[in-house]
Amino acid sequence: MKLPQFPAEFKFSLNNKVATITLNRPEKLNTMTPDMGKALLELVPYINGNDDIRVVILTGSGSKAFSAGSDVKVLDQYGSNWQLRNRVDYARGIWAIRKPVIAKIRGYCIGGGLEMALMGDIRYAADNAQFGAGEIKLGWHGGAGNTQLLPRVLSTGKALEMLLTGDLISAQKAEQYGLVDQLLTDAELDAAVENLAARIADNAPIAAELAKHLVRVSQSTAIDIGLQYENDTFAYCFTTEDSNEGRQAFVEKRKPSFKGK
Amino acid sequence: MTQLSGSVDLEIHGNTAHLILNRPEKLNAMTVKMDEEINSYIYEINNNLEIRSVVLYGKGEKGFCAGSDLTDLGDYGTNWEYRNRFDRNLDYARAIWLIKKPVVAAVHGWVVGGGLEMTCASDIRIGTPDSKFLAGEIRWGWHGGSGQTQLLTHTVGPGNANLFLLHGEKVEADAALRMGLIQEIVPREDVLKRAIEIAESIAEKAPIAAQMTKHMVRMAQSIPLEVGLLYENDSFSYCMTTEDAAEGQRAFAEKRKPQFKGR
Repeated sequence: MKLPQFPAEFKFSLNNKVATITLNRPEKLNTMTPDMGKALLELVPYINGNDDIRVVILTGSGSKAFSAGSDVKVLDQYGSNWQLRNRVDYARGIWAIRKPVIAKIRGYCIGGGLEMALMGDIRYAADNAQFGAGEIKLGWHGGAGNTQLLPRVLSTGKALEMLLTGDLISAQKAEQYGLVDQLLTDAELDAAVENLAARIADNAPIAAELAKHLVRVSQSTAIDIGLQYENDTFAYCFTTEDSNEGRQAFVEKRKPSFKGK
Repeated sequence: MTQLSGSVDLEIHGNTAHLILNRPEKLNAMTVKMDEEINSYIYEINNNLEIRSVVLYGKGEKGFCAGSDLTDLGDYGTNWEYRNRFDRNLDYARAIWLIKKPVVAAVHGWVVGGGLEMTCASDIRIGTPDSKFLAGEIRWGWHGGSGQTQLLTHTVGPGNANLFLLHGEKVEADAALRMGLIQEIVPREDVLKRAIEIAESIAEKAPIAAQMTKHMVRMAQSIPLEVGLLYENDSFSYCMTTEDAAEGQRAFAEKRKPQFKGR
């Protein structure tokens, strides 16, 4: 599959099995336009179909913002209200990535930016990060996951505090709430995310992708079903070449080398 | 990729899109290329406001679709790559499932494997006296992976689904009608006409309400009833904010046919 074309507001790179998506509109707090959303949506099947990609990092250009969500000034570009309702949403694009996604967050992470971060799997943030579901201040609530994902990541009370006030919370508070998985200084953040991505990329891709999948399943299905599903994918893992390699490496006391097969 | 014949064609007639399986010499068995083609149409169908309903049918006398061309499965890649076909927009029954507009399937003759999955992923299904339905995967050593155990069960109930899935023998049109797998049986020469008639009737309805209705019927199959009732009321309230709902009320009062615009 060929790499799709992107607008300049959007950067993509691939290094050592780690893909990085950078929202590149720093002068506008990396707010998303419909064009950027479309580019992201076109990138997703490429990422899912490229065996060289094992982990994805999602981040914003500059230190002022991860993303402040949709550019409210260009919302009309979505068309009629019904077309807006039927949009192909950028945050859903992040959700559709099958491989583990790490959100690397500096500065504002607001509205649709918060939704993209929540659709990711692990969130690392710099201490200048600020988080908010600010839609309510404008007269609506988030439409791509804020009301559904915040209460799964935070407690319902904390989620509603954010959803109903629309106020920003600090990186420190976000870490207490469990919204940020690791809080770092600005200087530490890049290396920490790189290190995390490399550690995940070293593991067996099929097992890693299934682990992500099963954690999703645990949030949306009854526990008895989830436990049975888990056991079937566990059994599937043992049909892979990588599981043989893992067992052999364990016996031979060496580091396994996984191929995603 | 192996060079195999056949295509899936998209034709737009008025406000109805026709999705046509076009490989009659091989009972419309789906190749990877045809799978890619059908998926490539879905964005257009979902986003073109002119398209308000869809008809799905297969060309040729022998049948609607024999499912996947088993000689071409290798082109899907490794087992893990094949498992991940949904994530690469590469599953033809899933493609039908992803259509947001109402889909009417006209089926005849053999409806097998992935062909049955496409049928179950459609919203209304019209058959012929010679329609024969078969989930034959179990005979080869697997079960369907694109909705056969899930969509068929929702369509015909667990007992009937198990008959299909475990017994693996064909079910004739009258039995399929009784199970609710098809809604009507019409003569072979009329089946496409009848499906088009239904699809065009749907296309005359308010598009937002029609699409919402499809969506809510889906919801009814996958969420708790109490949530579904609440959701329905919110989507009903949304419908009532549309221009088309106002037009509907006006037309009713004025005793004329409403003109809907999808707004």
